[in-house]
Amino acid sequence: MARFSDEMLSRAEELVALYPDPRSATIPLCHLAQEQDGYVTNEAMAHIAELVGSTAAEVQGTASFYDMLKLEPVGRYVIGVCTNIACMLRGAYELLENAEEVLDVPVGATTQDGLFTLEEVECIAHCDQAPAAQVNYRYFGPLDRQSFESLVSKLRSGELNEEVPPHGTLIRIRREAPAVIPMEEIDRNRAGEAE
Amino acid sequence: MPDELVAVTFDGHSLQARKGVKLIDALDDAGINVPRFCYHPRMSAVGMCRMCLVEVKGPRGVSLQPSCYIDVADGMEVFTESDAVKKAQHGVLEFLLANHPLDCPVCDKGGECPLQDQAFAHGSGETRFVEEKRHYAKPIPISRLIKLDRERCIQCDRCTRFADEVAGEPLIDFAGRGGTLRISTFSNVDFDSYFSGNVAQICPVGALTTTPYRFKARPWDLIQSASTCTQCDMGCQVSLQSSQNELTRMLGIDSDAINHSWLCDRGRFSTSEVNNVEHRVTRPRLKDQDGTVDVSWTKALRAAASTIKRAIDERGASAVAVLSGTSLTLEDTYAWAKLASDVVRTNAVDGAADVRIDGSLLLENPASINEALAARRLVLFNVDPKNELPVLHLRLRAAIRAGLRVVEVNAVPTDLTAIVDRWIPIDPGNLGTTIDSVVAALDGDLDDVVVMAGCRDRALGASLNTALLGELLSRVPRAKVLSGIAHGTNALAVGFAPSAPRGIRSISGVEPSMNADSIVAAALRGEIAVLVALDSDLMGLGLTEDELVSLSERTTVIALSSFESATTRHATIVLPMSAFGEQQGSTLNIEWRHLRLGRQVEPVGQARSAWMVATELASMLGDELGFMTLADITRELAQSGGILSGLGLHYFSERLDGPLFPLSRKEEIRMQRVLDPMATPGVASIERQGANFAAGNVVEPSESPGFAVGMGETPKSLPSAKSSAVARVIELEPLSEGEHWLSLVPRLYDSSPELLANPFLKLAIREPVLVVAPAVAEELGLEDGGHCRLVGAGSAEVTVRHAKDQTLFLALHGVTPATQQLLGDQSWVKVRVEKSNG
Repeated sequence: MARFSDEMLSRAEELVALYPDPRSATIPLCHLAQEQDGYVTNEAMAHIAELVGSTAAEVQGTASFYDMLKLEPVGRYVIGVCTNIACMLRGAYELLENAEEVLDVPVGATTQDGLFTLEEVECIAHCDQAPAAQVNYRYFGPLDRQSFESLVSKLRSGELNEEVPPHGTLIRIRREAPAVIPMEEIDRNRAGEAE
Repeated sequence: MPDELVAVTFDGHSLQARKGVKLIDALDDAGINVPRFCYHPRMSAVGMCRMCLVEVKGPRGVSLQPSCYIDVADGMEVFTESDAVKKAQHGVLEFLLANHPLDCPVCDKGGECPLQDQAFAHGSGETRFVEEKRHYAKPIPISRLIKLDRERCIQCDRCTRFADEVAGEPLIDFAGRGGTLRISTFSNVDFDSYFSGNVAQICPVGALTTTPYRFKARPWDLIQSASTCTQCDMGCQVSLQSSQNELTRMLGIDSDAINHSWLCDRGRFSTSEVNNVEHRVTRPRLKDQDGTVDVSWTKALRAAASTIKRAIDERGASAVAVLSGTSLTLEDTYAWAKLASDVVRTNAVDGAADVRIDGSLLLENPASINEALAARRLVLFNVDPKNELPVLHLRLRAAIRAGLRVVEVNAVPTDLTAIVDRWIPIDPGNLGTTIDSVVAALDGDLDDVVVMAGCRDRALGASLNTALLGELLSRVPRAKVLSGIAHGTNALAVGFAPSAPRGIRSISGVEPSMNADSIVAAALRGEIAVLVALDSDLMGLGLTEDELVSLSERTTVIALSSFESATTRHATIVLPMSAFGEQQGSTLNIEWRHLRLGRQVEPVGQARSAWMVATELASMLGDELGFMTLADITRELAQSGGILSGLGLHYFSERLDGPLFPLSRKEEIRMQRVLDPMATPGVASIERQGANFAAGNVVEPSESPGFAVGMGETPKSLPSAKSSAVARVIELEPLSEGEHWLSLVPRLYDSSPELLANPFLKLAIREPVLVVAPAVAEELGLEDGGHCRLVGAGSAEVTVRHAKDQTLFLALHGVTPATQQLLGDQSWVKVRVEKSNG
């Protein structure tokens, strides 16, 4: 719960090296911090500022702009219930109320055991399965009270561990950065195209 | 170079505008005021507030465009008063006011608020917004000096832009988005900047206020005068405002030649120390066997005069010494210089203890600040603008961003090191090649070079500093020189210091030949009978309190001072001196520009101006200085034949910034910018800030009436240290076993009597810190955050920090009485490092 661990730090340094200007790595590093701690901690923001050469206030300014970056602790699973028009017509508000009852928390809050955070979200482009919800940005739907209950209990029992990683982990496949193409080669290619 | 012009049509009038400026500036030039919030002429345009929308005719008809965000172009047709523009202004204002509280009656900005003014001028007059407005916790202290009322913020990005672009310390930034966008610091990291006060001045609403001024006064009750900040010799132009005979605040005025409307906190909040009567000397007092008694001015002056007379009679004139501090006006300095040289006839005077360099190097070919910033190459030699001349740091940052190429020569890196072209260390272990490296860094481009010369590092002896600078100037013979010394310009100009070259003197009597260090040393040996400390704390010269006590037993100390200090506590005769804002006069800045000082309040208690005290002392000593008023002094300086020949107060009415001396210097001021009307609330109208504003600023000596006297005597050539034998770099004696080179550099908030009298700024005083290069730290076994003991001429206990910059050896940050103990009279200070047991 703090600055980057050694492993994360080496990943962070890789990310910084990808960009001509280190500041460009601010948002990827915020995601990395979120992967480590579930949310972007103050210590992580200060560490990111050191890594990219800005101030912690600037990192906070950037991180606080984006909904996907959480600056407060959230549950292991962030459940977003869509209430946009397609889902709404198919009973999203009922689903949201049910979700509140099942989890026993209001929208925006986290359960006592720290497992679930409930959110109301705008269209998540899963309209064909309305009413839909997302758990750590993985889609589920159509959902009613029963299927929602079963989703929650599966998440709780760990049955969906393969499918839904803890909040903050965007992908579990690590891709290597491609080899850098030298500028000369790009220029050469461009010159070739121009001819 | 005259600006290129383009033809434009504004509101149906065919006009010409300067090419390449923003449309809003061109409209300002044409006298058309477009309402605005976010635009500031000294910062980049962002187009945040949309208040400056105007209609611009384009190929597809007229469209609304933000005038701060587009460049003026040839043939542009602009409408600023059309119905569409009015409607847009109503809309933007309604939007801004939707969440803005109506607490104007209790808001500090009320009465000088751009939002209030523009709501009256351009608003629709009534609100359709019936919903609950935003609420935030308030006020939030974003630093010790600045408070934030979030619900008043209109999100114009001025403060955050200032912090990022101008100050280079982005410690505040927007957080959140949309309706909940707010200014925020990070967690527990304060907006701790030397320049934080500026954000309150440029805030177009009452969201940012300064703690010292908060709820102190209403703007319409303030009276003001144009003045100059005297905390350092940058000479920032200010509007000094007061209410009920108390200084309330200082605002920066946009002077093109000097401060571009910015001030540092040290200057901006210096009004608080003047107001702090508890720390002021208010009445004359004498110390005798029975203790200290308050006496009348007459009695105190008589006592002073008889002491001085007895000392002269018994032990000769040299037994009377005068040391002067930093806050005297030009007139004060001249009066005391004349008293010392013509009446007392002593050679033991030093009014420029900070000038540890041969003053003649500064005047041979002087450059103005603007010249320095427009030069092809600028060499910063042994100066740290941020800590010595803070606003110059901002000017330099802006110039470097605009492409100025800077070579920095310093023993210890500064905050500019990261952005300059080249940093060349003054390495005591390898001095011989320093100047070679500097010349090499200029890439043979030796024609348009300005050298800004200072004496930042106290550990560098005056002779070594002069020798290095002399060598540099002899290798770059056409270089112009700008002084980078924070204090002492007045004393140099009148010749009130041994470091002042003969050619610029305004006094002609006995020449000073003992400097502050030798005077203090002589006093400690008992060779000085009377020591006059003019607003100078002897502890600031490196005396310990014990030494001060023993000195005051052997020497009669006469202290003329605004603030209580160790010196006033131990002095035999203490005289109260008026402080900044309490007296009229003038002062010189680092570029030898003559600037006015305004009197805004009555002096505290019985305080008097130093020049008056000098005149009275002279007559009690049976002589006359020959002046009764400030104007007499000005007249005498004008005819003196020194650098100030031709001095005249009429220049102040002719140009905003005051003239440069010697008057033979001609000055190119770039096109005058129209002021940001919101940067100086309360001084909103351009006319009130200075006469002839639009008429341009170039003073041609031949065109100015009434100063023919003395011009012929302006020194044409000054004695040169360049050509003399001094310009040979001294090889330092190598270190012996266990010794290390030490640098001692000042910080802006180093303990001084004035700072201790300031209830707000004294909290910023920090203990000295020894910054150690990591390799050296390892060798010495010094831990980050640990303590150690330095032993040089004296010894001092200091905190250690490992260097994160390019510090080469040991750099002690913080000039205090304790750290000055380490200095001896070597060319470079060597110390031994002992681990401390505590």
